[in-house]
Amino acid sequence: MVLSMTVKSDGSMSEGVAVIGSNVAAIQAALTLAQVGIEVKLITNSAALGWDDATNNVSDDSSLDQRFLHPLLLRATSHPLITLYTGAEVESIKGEKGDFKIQVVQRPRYIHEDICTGCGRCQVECPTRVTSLLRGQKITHTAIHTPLLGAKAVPSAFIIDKNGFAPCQVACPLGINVQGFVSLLANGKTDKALALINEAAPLAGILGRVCRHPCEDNCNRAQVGSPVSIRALHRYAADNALGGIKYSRKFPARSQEGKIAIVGSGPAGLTAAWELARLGYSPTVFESHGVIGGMLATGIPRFRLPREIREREIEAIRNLGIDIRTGITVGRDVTFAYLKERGYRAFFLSIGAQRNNKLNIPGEELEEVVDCMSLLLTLNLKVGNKVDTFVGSDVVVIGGGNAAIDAARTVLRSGAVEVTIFYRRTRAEMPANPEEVEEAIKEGVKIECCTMPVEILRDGYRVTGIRCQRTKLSDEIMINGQHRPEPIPGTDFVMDANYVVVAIGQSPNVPQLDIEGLAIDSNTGVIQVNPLTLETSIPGVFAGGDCISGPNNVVEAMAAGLRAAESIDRYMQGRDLKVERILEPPEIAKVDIETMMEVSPYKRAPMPTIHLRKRINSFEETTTGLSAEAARREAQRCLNCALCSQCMECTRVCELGAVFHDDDIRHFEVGAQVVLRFLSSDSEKNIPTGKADQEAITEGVYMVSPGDGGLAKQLIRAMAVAMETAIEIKPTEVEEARAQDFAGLDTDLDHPHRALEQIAGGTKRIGVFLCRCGGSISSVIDFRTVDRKLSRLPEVTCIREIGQACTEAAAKQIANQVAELQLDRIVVAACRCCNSEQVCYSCTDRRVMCQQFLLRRSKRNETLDNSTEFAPKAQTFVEFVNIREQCAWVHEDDPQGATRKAVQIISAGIARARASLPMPPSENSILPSALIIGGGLVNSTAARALASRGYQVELVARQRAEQGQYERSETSPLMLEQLQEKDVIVKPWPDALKLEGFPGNYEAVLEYGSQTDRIAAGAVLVNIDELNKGTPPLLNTTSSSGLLDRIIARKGNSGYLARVGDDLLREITIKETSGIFLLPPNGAELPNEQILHGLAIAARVSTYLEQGSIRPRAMAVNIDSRLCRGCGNCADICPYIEMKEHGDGTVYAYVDEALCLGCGACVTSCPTGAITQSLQSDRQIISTLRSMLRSDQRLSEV
Amino acid sequence: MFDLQNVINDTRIRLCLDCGKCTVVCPVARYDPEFNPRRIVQEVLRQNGRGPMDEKIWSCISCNMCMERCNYNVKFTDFIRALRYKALAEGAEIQYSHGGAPQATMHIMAQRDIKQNRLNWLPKDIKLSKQCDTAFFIGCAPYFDILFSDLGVKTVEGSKGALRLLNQAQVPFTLLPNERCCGRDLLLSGDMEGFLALARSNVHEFSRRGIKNVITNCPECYYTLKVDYPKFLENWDINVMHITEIIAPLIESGKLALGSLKPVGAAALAPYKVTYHDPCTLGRYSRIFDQPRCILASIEGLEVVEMADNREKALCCGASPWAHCGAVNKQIQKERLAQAGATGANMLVTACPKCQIHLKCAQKSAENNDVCQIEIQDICTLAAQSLLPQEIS
Amino acid sequence: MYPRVLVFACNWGGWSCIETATNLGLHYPVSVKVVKVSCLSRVHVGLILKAFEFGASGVMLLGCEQGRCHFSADSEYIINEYEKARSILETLGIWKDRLVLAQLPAFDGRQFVMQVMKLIAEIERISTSKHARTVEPRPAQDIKVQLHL
Repeated sequence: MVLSMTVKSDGSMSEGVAVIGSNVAAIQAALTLAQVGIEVKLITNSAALGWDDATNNVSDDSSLDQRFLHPLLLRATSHPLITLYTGAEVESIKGEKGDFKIQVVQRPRYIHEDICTGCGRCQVECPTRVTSLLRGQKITHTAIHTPLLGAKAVPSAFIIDKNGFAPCQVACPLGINVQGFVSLLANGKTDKALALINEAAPLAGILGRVCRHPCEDNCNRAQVGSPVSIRALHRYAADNALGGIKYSRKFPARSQEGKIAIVGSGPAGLTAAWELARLGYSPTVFESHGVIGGMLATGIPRFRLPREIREREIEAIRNLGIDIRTGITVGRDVTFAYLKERGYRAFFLSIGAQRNNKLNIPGEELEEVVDCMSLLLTLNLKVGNKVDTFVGSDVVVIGGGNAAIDAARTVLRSGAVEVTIFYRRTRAEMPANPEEVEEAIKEGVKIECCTMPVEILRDGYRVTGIRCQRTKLSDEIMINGQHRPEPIPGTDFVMDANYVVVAIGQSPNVPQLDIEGLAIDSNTGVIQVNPLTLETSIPGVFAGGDCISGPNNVVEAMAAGLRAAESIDRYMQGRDLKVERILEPPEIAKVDIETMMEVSPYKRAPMPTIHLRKRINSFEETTTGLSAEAARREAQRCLNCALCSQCMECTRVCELGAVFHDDDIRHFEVGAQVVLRFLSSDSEKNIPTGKADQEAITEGVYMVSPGDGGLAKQLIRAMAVAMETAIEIKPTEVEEARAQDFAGLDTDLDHPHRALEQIAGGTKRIGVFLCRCGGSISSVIDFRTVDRKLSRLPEVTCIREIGQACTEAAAKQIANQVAELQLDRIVVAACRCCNSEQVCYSCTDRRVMCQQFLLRRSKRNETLDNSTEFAPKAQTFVEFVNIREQCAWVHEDDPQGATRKAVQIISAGIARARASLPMPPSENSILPSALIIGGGLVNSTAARALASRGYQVELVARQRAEQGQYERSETSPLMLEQLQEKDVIVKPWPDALKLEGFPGNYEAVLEYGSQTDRIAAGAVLVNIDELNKGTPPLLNTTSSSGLLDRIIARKGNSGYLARVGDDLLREITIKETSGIFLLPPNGAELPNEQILHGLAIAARVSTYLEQGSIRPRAMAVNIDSRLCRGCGNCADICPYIEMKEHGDGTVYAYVDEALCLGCGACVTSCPTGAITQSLQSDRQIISTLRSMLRSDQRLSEV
Repeated sequence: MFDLQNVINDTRIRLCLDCGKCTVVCPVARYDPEFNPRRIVQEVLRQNGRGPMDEKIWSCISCNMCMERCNYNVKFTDFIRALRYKALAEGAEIQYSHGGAPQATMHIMAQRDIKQNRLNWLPKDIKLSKQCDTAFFIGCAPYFDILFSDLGVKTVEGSKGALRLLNQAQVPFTLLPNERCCGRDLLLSGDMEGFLALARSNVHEFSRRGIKNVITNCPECYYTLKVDYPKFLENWDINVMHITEIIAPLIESGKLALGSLKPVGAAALAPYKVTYHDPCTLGRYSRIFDQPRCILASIEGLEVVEMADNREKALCCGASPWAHCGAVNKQIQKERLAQAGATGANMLVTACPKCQIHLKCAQKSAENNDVCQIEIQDICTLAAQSLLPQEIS
Repeated sequence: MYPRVLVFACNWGGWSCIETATNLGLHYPVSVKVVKVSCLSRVHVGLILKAFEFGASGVMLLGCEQGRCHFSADSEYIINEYEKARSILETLGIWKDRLVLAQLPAFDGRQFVMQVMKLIAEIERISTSKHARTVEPRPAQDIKVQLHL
């Protein structure tokens, strides 16, 4: 699991088996293989393993259910020999048996699987709602979500749905994360929205008003209604963010050396300065006008962009530490050369296009013929809203750009009676923003299209009118890609006018700069630059904005500023200007609106405006901006084309840094000797089933069909498959795998007490560790209070906070504390809730990891990241307290209460730790041999399987020498042969049978008439029917006399499948220790089925034998024979307990710890308390109760 | 509270001659060679009361055999009790029997605001008198019968019998619906706080109802109220009597007659042989030996035989304050039951509910054949059964 | 202020119910505390009474539904202890209904929360009506055990 983020192609790794699939069979097979010591790569297509995937072909089964699945998943995913690849597709399988190379493609998760604890704080913050299909129906969820959308999953790490880039962001020259700030606004997070915008670009208030908004032109929402009113939302964010404008820095202020000069403080210059300042430079801006902002100040009239807005925005940029010198014209007041002398290394020319083009018609020289630039300049800089320059006059404006429209509307506001715009092309060609044109017409501006001026009529020095001519568009295309309009003869007409405003475009005044060697485009007069780097013909001198493009809009100019800043930074750092830069926009996300998207029913919100009456003679801003809920509703119209909107809320909220937005698709190679592909879908069901339901595609690659029946049956099949595979792999390699991965597993974990023996007695030194769980715990529970209260408790040596208990770092931190402070007991308050090695129905992967990092030291971990030296010293007793699910999460509605409760349950944990006593270690080694009692197909299959796994096998069975009919229970000559060639020793059926010894080391005593035969075995497989058959029956289940009888009695006497179900459930949760396995009744099923059973049981047996040694379960009881009164209550309850006799004939109860399942019923039944469970003695439970129920004021009395 | 010097003086430990007679007669020492009253005393004196207490202090069953035998009247039992108090205060763990249920019950009972339902077994035919300064103290019988239901103990029957006898003898009495456990077990196991809490609650009950005299059929309650309460409670002036102390004289003076025995269970044989087991607290502690025997003798057709050890020498039922009970105790109980069996009696009669419980517990054993399965009966139950039918209305 | 409730939860079915309750986003009062045991059959009268001694106003025994015990242990042990404890509580005048036995199917978080809230309501009912009651209780023998299945 941990590996799946890191593993890359590795040719050498051709070890073990690749298991492909995510159904329960695949998982069980993987686990079985690993448990018999074979390395497994588990490759699954889904983002996580869970109930739905695992059991889509499992018919309901009473004996096993979800209770089983989760422990299975955890055992599998946490097994050191299993590497899990989630969200992975197999592209191809190359090579031949013994050395396959599997090409795997892994989808990005965008979350670090090994860090994410699934606390779900990100989900709460995520503003983006996306829809996906779950079991056929459309459900809406956050873009960041649990892998199986709520269902229990392993790994539980979250996952983010992404879909490339939204068209709006791609269209934006500044690359602003439009979807991001829109979805933030949709959730009312105005400040965060503005912050996100300001990450990409400054001047939000200005862009939000005057931007050309290419984003809206590309918005997918237009396909279902009209585009989202993005500009309005942009403005809303800028105007309503409470925090005001706060620009983040990429590097500390003035951290970069080198002087940079920026010529012109227009949008391009300001943006360049802004970006450079954020990068740590302190550039100087030279502005020839008295006001800062270039066109923003002089070109765009106040009623579109109020002065105070402009000043606010510019001030914010200035505050980044930019020196803006106004009233200095480079080339006139200071020369380029002079600046170079003064040590300016890089220059950015953003002088804009200020020089007006001429009409070149008679009468143009008259003073009432004004150019729009100077007109706008003068009127804009006038103080106060009342301007009366044009009172009572008729004005004609010539041109069709924004400047012309602005001029017309400005003139109208200055008292003009009638304002007419002459444009030589049709309305469609007008470069001005359509909505501006609309507004102008609303305000009463007349627009005469296809009209060009011919002559300005005069009366002396006064303009009286203008003669025009109609035009039509010719086919000739001009440089700017438009049709040249040509006059229609004889269509002259005259219009009266007192003023003529010329607004037919501007061009930059480059010569004024007088920089020699600066290349200029001859016919347009703009500066020539490299479009990628914006570098001019002179190195270190860059240019952008209108002065390279001719009159253009603000956003383009700002984009140029950014691009230039990037280049200048590279230039100053001496890096290559071109490398890793592209002009092409990234690919746009493909969306299927109909099927997937939730479309809000609302229409596009209109931009509210002030009343027309108020506009005349007033420069008050025309538009007023969206209202709060209008903005919210408008934002909710967004389709979230890219799914995750990259608003980075998750990154912000995740203390653990688990979110990883730059994650990417991974291609790598996995090596394997054998490949098992488990088919789960019904479509694949038609694949024929051969031996053990396997179908070889090529030798060594097997398809395993889904099969049917209940869970137990499926598992049996899976184990059978695994066993066959295990046999195929040469034992030698198995040995290596085992040697590599099982050396040094620190199993002391299962018996925390054993550890304590050295430090029995004396005062205890207890360390308490509080897990923040990346804030999901600490945000509810007040750790300071907890610390204060707990530190009053006696023997508590230290209380420490840790970020995330289930990581290796935490394990190291804790281990260091243990070593440093000589702690003998530690209490970890996190999500884990028990310190035994069992896995219960509700355990989680994080809990398992918590335990593993802290307590288990495996060779694999060592080679990966040598956590060994950090694992706590062996004589430390570890107690866990669950304060996540049990406290912080379930009581998030009551933080104070939760904190109180936390104090109580942690102090209970401390009490338990204090009450824990040392126990003598006990461990039995397991003989690598098996004894099978009973003949038949199942048994001989099992025998052969085990033998070929290299275990010594003896089979006791009825047999018949000569050919012919033989009972199912008997061993046929053929079987005998097969058995002999695997050197299985076959013994005849005895007259009497007794089992002695203890788990891991049994001795069967077989009596043949007078002489007896003794067989030592690590595991015993019995067929009950066989034992009961014949006279006298070898097994007498009524009395609980013999060891064998008692064990069989404990395993219950339900039907075989049900019984196997119970066994499997226990094997997966609390492990098998008895080593006694029950064989199915002979001849119940078809031969094929019997073979499956045989292999499956062989798999379970070798899983058991593979451990090499067993220790009693953590919850196992021990009986104090001094306190035992021999009443026999316990023996009545549990067959594992037998009554033994002292020398003096008095009886006492005895139990083999290794057999005990640890339920504790006997403890309840014992009148004297002679029976105790080391991990939950009455003492511990009672002290737990005391600390839990005592109100925390009285805590100090503990 | 624990001052070694006081304890030493009170218990006259310094008079110990180290003769070891106590150890010889100690039933625990007989089966647990490591238990040795004398050595415990010496050890504590040597360490002058400091240092960890010997684990063994919990093994004592406070049967008082040692004090019985000691020529200098050294109070070993009290001394051990003091040591237990100290050990507990130092954080020693008590090994509870029956999961500590009895102790828990007592502690809950010690809570002041509690309102028990301890009389719901009370039969209609028993006559209580209103306004009466004599109370019959029932003790924990109702709780015992629930806790030890698996042993089939019926200690409440004993109480019923006692009440019937009193009715029969026309002795007026009332019952306290909210009396508490006397607290003897807590006292013995050194849990002084618990004991005092219970004692105070009882005193409160008594004074609230203006009780002057207390009759009880439980020897433990009897001794505790009579002897221990005065020690620990100021101005305690209640006259405490054991049921046998009242009934026996009446029988002797002929004021009360017991009839013949109604057949009980399977053991309806004639001649009907019973043997009487002296509870330690009634016998050795309170020197009440004859009254019970007198009552039994007066039952028609009942032959009373004595066990090998009887009266002062009577062997304990192996009791312990519901704690540290184990194989050794079992041995003592086995021996006692064997003695009973040896007499050839059909029934073992005792005057103490706890003796009944402990002996019955011993009888429940995986080694049935070894443990004498003699029927065990409470003296009051028996006596009440012998009352003539028409006189029971 | 809710009454203190102590839940003895079996490590298997019981614990899974509690976990599921959290994962379903359900809430219950902080006064509800859980003690995990290997199996309900481990809980005896002594422990139950201890809980009350230490001030619990109610105790819930939460275990696997019948026939689903992880150790295929027979639930008669716990029922026996349960009955004893109830009789003791009844005799003590604490009232038997402060103790409930809930044997729920695994992962049934809703049921668990329902049962707990029911117990809390019951406790509040008892503690308010306590002083009004007459000293005329039912005999301890005919206490019926109802299993919350």
